[in-house]
Amino acid sequence: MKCLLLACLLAACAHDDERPETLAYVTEAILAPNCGTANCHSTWKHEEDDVFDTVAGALAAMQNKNRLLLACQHGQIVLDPCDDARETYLYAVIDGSDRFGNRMPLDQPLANKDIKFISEWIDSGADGYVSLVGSN
Amino acid sequence: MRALIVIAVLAIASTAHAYPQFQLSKDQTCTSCHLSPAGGGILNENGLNVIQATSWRGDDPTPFYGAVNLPSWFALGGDIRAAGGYYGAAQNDPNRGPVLFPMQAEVSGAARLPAHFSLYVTAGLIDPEQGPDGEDPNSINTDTLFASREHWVQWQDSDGGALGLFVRAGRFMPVFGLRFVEHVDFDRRYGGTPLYGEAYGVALEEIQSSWEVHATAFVHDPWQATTELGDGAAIYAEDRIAGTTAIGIEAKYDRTTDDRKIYAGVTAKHYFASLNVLVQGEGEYIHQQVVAGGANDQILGYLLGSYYLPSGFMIDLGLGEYEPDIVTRNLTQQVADLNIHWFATSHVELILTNRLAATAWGEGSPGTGYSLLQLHYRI
Repeated sequence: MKCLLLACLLAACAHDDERPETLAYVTEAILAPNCGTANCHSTWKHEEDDVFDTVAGALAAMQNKNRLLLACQHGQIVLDPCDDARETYLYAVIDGSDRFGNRMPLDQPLANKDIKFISEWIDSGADGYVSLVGSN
Repeated sequence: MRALIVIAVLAIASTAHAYPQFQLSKDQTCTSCHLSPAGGGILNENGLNVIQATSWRGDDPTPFYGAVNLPSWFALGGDIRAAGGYYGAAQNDPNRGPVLFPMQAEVSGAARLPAHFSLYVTAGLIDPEQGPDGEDPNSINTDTLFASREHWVQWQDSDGGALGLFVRAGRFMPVFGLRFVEHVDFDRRYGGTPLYGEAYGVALEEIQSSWEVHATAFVHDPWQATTELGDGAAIYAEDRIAGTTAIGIEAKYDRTTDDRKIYAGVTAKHYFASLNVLVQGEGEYIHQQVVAGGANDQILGYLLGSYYLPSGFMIDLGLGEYEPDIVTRNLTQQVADLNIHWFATSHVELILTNRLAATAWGEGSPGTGYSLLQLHYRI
C-alpha cells in the first residue's frame, strides 16, 4: 500500500506539461492572467492595440499585426510563419531577447515553463491561430 | 525609454479600498468606519475619528479640513495617489529602472435620500484606453479618461447605521474575500477581485457586530472600462468568533465567453492585542474551464501580518503563493511584500511598498521586484 501511494506521488510529481496547445488555452491560462491585466493588454486598455484577456482579442492582436507570430526578429514582415518559434516576436518579447530590450510582462517574467509551452504551441502549428487565419 | 514604458503601463494603477488591517484591531466591521457595506471610500464619523487618532498629526479629518460646510444629508470623500521608485530588482531584468506614475484621482459623494435610500457615486480619472483602432496605438483616447467606477443606490433597514440589512443595486465590486488595498496581492490579482473589477450587480448584505454575509449577482459592464468580463455571483460570509478573531468563507462563479471559473476559499484574522499585531490570511481554490477545451485547478494563498507602531506607522509583512496549475510543475509564483505605512496627518499617508517576486522559488524564471514610495491624499 505504501509503495502504491509512493508510486502515485511520484507519478504526480513527474507529471510534465500536458496542457492543451491551443490559442484558447494559451490565452485564458497564460496570457490573460499575466498580460491581460487592467493597465496593460486588457480589452479596455489595449496597450499597443494588443488585447490578451479574451481569445478573440488575442487572435486579433496576432492577426492584425502579423508580427507577433508571423514576423521574425530580423524585422521583416513576412507572410509565412517563422521556421522556429524562438524567432517570432511573441517569443522574443516574453523571453527577454527582444532586440529593443523589452521584456513582457513588465512586472514579472513568465515562468520558463510557460515560455516553453508557448514556443511548443507555435512550433506545433499554433492551433487556433493558424486554423482561423488560414481559413480567411 | 524603458522607464517611460513602465510609466505608461503602470499609470493610474490603483483604486481605493478599505484597509482590512484596521478590522479587529480598531473596530469590528468595515461599516464601523465606512459608509459602504463593502468598506473603502467615504469615511463616516467614527472613521474620521479613527484616522485622526491613528495619524501622527491628527488634524481636522473632514473634507477640506472643515472649510466647506456640507449639508447633513451629503458626505464627500476622495483619494489622490501617485508613486515613484525603482522597478525590476533582478540584476538582468531588462525592464529595471526608475519609475514615476499617477495612480488615482477620484472623488466620491454619498447622498442620503428619503425612506432609508441613499445614492453613492465615485468618479474621476481612470487609466484611459489607448488610441482608437487604426490610429497611432500610443495615443490616448481622451473620451475614456473620466469615468464613474462606482455608482449605486442602496436601501438599508437602519437609516444611516453601521449594522443591519443593506440592499445595493448598481456598479460596484462584489464583496469577496479580504479585499486588500494592494491590487497586486495574489488574492486580488488572481483571486477574483482584480483592479477595476467592478460590475453591475445586486447585493444583499447583512452586517452584524459578530458576523456578516454578502451575496451579489453581477453582470459585466458592456459600456465602460472594466476588467470583469464575466457574469456570475459571489458570496462572502464572516463570523467574528471572538472580539479579536474572525473566520470567513467565500465562493464565486464567473462566466465569460471564453471560460468558466469557480472560486472557493477561506479567510482568517486574529488580532494579538498584547503584541499589537494583526495576522490575516486568505486561501483559495480556483477551477478554470476553458470553453474551447482544457481545464486547470489553481490554488493561492496570501498571509499578511500588520504591526502598529506609535506616531502613525503601520508595518505590513506579506507572503503570497500562487499555483496556476497544480499538475504542472515549476509554475508557482511566490512574493514577499514589506509595506510601511505612515499616516502623517488625517489626510496624508506615505507608503513605502517593497516586493520581491520569484517563480518556483527562483528556479522557474528570473526573479524581480520593486520598491516604490506612494503618496496618498484623502480628501
